Amino acid sequence: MKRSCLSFVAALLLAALSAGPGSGNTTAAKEILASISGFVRDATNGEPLPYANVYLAGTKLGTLTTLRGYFVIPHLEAGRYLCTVSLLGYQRWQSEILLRAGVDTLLAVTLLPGSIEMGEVTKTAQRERFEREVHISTASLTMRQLQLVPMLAEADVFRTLQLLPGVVSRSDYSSQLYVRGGSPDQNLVLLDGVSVYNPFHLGGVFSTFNVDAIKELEFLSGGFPVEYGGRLSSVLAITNREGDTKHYRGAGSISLLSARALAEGPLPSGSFLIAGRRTYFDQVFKHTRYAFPYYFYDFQGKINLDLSQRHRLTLSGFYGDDVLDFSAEGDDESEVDVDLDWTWGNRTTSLTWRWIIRPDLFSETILSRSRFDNDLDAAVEGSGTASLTLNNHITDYSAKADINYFGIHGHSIKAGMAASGLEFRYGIAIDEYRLFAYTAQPALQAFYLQDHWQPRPRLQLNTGVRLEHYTLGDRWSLAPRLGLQYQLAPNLALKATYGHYAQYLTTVASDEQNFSLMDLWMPISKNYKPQTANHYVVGVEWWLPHDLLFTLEGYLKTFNGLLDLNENGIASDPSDDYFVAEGTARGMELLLKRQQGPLQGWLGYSWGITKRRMGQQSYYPKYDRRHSFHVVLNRTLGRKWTLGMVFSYGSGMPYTPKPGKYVRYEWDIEQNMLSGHLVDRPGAKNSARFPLYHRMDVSLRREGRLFGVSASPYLQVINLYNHKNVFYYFWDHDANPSRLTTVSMFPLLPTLGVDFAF
Amino acid sequence: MPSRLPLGVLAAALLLAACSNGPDVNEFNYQPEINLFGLLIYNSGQTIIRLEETYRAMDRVPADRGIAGAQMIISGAGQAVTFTDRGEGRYATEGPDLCLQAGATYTLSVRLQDGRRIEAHCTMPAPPRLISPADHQVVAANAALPIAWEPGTPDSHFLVSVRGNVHTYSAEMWSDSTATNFYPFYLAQPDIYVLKVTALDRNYYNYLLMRDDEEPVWHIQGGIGVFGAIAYDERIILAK
Repeated sequence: MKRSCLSFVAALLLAALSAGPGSGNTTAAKEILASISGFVRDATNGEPLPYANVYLAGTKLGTLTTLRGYFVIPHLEAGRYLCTVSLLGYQRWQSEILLRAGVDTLLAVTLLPGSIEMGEVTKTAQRERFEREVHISTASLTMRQLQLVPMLAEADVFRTLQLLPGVVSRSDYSSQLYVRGGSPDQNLVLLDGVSVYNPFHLGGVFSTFNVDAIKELEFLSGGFPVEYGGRLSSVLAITNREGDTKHYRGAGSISLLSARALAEGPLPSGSFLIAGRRTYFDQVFKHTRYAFPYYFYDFQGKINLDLSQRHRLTLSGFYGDDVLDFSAEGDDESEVDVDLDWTWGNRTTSLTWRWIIRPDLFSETILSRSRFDNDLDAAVEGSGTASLTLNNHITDYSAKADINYFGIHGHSIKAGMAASGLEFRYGIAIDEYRLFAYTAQPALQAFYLQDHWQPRPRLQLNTGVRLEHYTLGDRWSLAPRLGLQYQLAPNLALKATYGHYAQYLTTVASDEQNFSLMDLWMPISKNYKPQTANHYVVGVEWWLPHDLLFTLEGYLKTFNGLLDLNENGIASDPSDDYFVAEGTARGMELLLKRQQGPLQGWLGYSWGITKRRMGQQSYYPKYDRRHSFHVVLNRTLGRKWTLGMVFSYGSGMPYTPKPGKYVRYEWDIEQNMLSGHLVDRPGAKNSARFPLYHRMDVSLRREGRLFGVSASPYLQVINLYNHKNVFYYFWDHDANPSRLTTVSMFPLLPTLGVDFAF
Repeated sequence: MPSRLPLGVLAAALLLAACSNGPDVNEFNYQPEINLFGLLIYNSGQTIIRLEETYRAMDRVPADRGIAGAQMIISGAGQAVTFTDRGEGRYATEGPDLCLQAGATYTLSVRLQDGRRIEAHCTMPAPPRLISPADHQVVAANAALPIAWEPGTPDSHFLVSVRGNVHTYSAEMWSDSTATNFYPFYLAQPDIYVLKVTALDRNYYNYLLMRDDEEPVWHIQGGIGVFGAIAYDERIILAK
C-alpha cells in the first residue's frame, strides 16, 4: 500500500513537472510562444492585490492574480495586446503591450484607489474568483470588513466568522468555531502559513489576531484542497499585510479595554510592518471591586526583502502572552496566602522564500517554528508552604514547499510537500515533586498534487490527492480531493466537492464542557487510529445584479474514530484514554451577501443536524444547533458616518437536563462512616434544549480628523436590548426546595474607542 | 437591497425577542426512582444499606427520605438473609449477619409495598495484603513513600488512602496495579498515619469514579445507586 501510494504520487509529480510549456496544446506547440506575467500592487502602499482580473482585451485570455498579487498568462502568440487590470475599489489599468515570440514580458502594475466610472463594470475579487476557480464553501474577509462588524472591545476574526452560515458558537464567552458539526480542535488555523495551536486569549473571549495587521483571511468550511491537511473540519488561513513600500505610516486604536498600534514603511528593496496591542482592564479596575489581575499582549511583525525580481524573502513572527498574576493575603478566617503566576501564549516565526523559476513556474518554501507555552506557578503559604508547577509546551518545526505550474494549456498544477516535527511536553509538580510528566515527539509528512483543469469554457475540475504519514503507529493516509464547477449561466454555477481528511492530533477535553481556558493538544498515540472525515458538498452560486451574491450549499460529513477524553480511564491502560465515537453532520446553508455600495453585509441562514454515536449510544453534541440566522449590515450615512449592525438568532442547543435529585452516599474508608449529600439526577445526555438565542449588536463610527491625524471614534453596543441568553442552569441543593439559577451570557455592553492613522 | 432593510431587520429582531420563550427546565416529566446504597465490607463483616426515594429537582426534600416496609433479601455463598426496615431508609438483619466470603457473588432483591422491585449483584473481592511499608514502620515525613501489596483478586481496582492521627489530614489515590508512590505532601507532617489499600468490586469502583459524571451508568435493575463490595488491608506508619 505504502509503496503503491508513493509511486502514484511520484508519477503524477514527474508528469506534471516534466511537461514543458505548451504541452497539451498541439497548435501552440508548433509555434514559439510568448507570455505575460507580473505583479499587481496598490499604488499608494505597494501591497500586492490578490484576485485582480488581468485580461487581454478583444480575446478570451485572462487570469486572476494570486494571493501574492502574481499573475501569468502563458501561450500567447506574438503581437500587440491591450492588457487590462481591474479590481473593485481601484481605477482600471490599461496598457498596450507588444509581445515578442519566445519572450516573457514582465509587468509591474500599480492600481490607484478610485471609484467606479459611469458605465464601467468592475467586479469584486470574489466575483472574479467565481468565474475562474472552483470556489466552494469558502469565505474571504478583508481587514476593512472585519473592522466594521460590531464586536466586544475590538474587531475580532473568530467572532466575525461565527456569523457565517455553517459556523456555530457555543456561547458569547467563547470565540471558538464549531464548523458544520465539527469540534474546535478540527479547525486548522494558519497565520502566514504557520499553524497556531491556541489562537485565543482569555479562553476564547478574544482571538489572537490583531485585525490591523490582517490583509485577508480565507475561511474554508468544507472540501478544502490538497495543500491543507491534518484537520477534519475547516481551514482558516490568515495573511498579514506586507507593509507600505512607499511611505512610513502609523495607525492605532484606543478603547475602554485595550489599545493597539501599528507601524509600517519601506525598507531598501522591501518593507516592514510591526503591530502590537495590550489590554489594560487589569490597570483600569485595579483598585475597584471588579479588579481582575489579567491582561494579554501580542506583537507581530513582517519584513519583506526583494532579492531580485524572481526572489523574495519574508520573515514574519508573532509573539503573544496571556498573563494572570494574582496574590492574595489570608484573612483571619483562612490565614492562607496565595500567589499565582500564570502565563500562556503562542510564538510563531517563519521564513518564506518565493522563487519565480519561470513565468509559468513558481515556488514558495516556508520554514517555520510554532510554539505554545503554558506555565503556571502557584504558591500557598499557611501553616506550611506548598507550591504547584504546571507546564505544557508544544513545539512545531515545519517545512513546506509548493510548486505552481501554469505551463499546460487549460491546467494549473500545484504540487508540494510538507514535513513537521512536533514535540508535546506536559508536566505537573508539587513542591518540586513531579506528579506527572509526558513527552511525545511525533512527525508528520505529506505530499500532494492538484490539477485545476478547465476542459470546457463552462466546466472546471479540481482533482488532487494528498498522501500523509504519521510516525506514531506508522499510519499512512491517502486523501483524494475532487471539486467541480459547471457554469449554468454567466452568473450561475453549480458546484460540488468531495474530500477525505485525517487528523493526528486531538485536544484533551471533552466536547461537552462549557468552557476551557485553553486547548491542551495531544498527539494520537499508536493505540488509536487517526480521526477521519469525509466531506460531500453540493451548491449553487448565483450573482444577482449589483454584485449581490447568493449561495446555497448542502453538505454531508461523516466522521470516524473521533476521540473524546475518558476522564475515568485506567491509568495503566493506554488504550483506555479515550472513548471512540462516530458521527455525521448534514445541513444546508444560505448566504446573501453584498460587498459594494452604501449598504454592505450579509444574511446567512443554516440548518443542520449533528449526531454522534459512542458505542450503543447516539446523541446530539452540545453544539448541535438546528437553525442559525445572522444579519451583518453596514450602512454608510453620508461621507463620514457608518452604522453597523449584527443580529444573531439561533435555536436552542442541547444540554443534559437535571430533572431530579437524590442523596448520593459514599463510605468513608478512613473513618468507617457513611456520608451523603444531595446531588443532581441527570436525564438522558443532551436530551433538552436551551431557549432560543438572539442578540443584536450595533456600532456607529465617524471618519474624521483630530490634531492633524485621521481619527475615527466609534461607539459599539453589544446586546442592545439586553436579552438574557442562557449560558447554563445550576441547581442549588443547599436550599430546600432547591433553587434554580440561570447563568446568562453577555449583558448589554457599551464600548467606546477611537481608531487613528497617520 | 432596499435602504430600509436595517430598520426591517431591527423590527423583526424585536418581534422575535418579544416572542421568545423562557427557561423550561421545570417542565420535565420526571418520575421519582428508587435510590439504593448497598455496600458489603469484608473486614468488618458489615452490610450497609440505605433505601430511599429520589425527588423532582424542584421538590422539597423531607427529613425522612427512606422507603419504609420493603422486603429485602441478600443471597449468596449459600445464604439468603432478610433485611428489615430500621427507619429512615436503613435496613439491617434481625438475626445472624450475612457471612461475607471473598470471591462470592451476592444478589440483592427488594420488593416495595407499591409493587416496585429492584435487583443487583456484586462480587466480593479478596482483601489485598500490604507488603510495604511494614506495620509500625518509621518513614520520612514530606518524602515520597513507595507502597506495594499483593492483590487478593486479579484485575482488582484499588484505592490507597492515608489519614493522620493528629492533623487528621487524609488523602487517597487510585491504582490499577500492585504498587504506587505516595507523593511527599501526602505525609507532609510528622504524625501517626493509618495507611489502607482497599480492593473495590467493579460496581463500587465505577460508582466512585462517576462522582461528577453527567451521565452515570447504574448497574441496578429498577433503580439507581450502587450495590458493591470492598475489602482492605491496613498498616500504622510513623512519619518523622
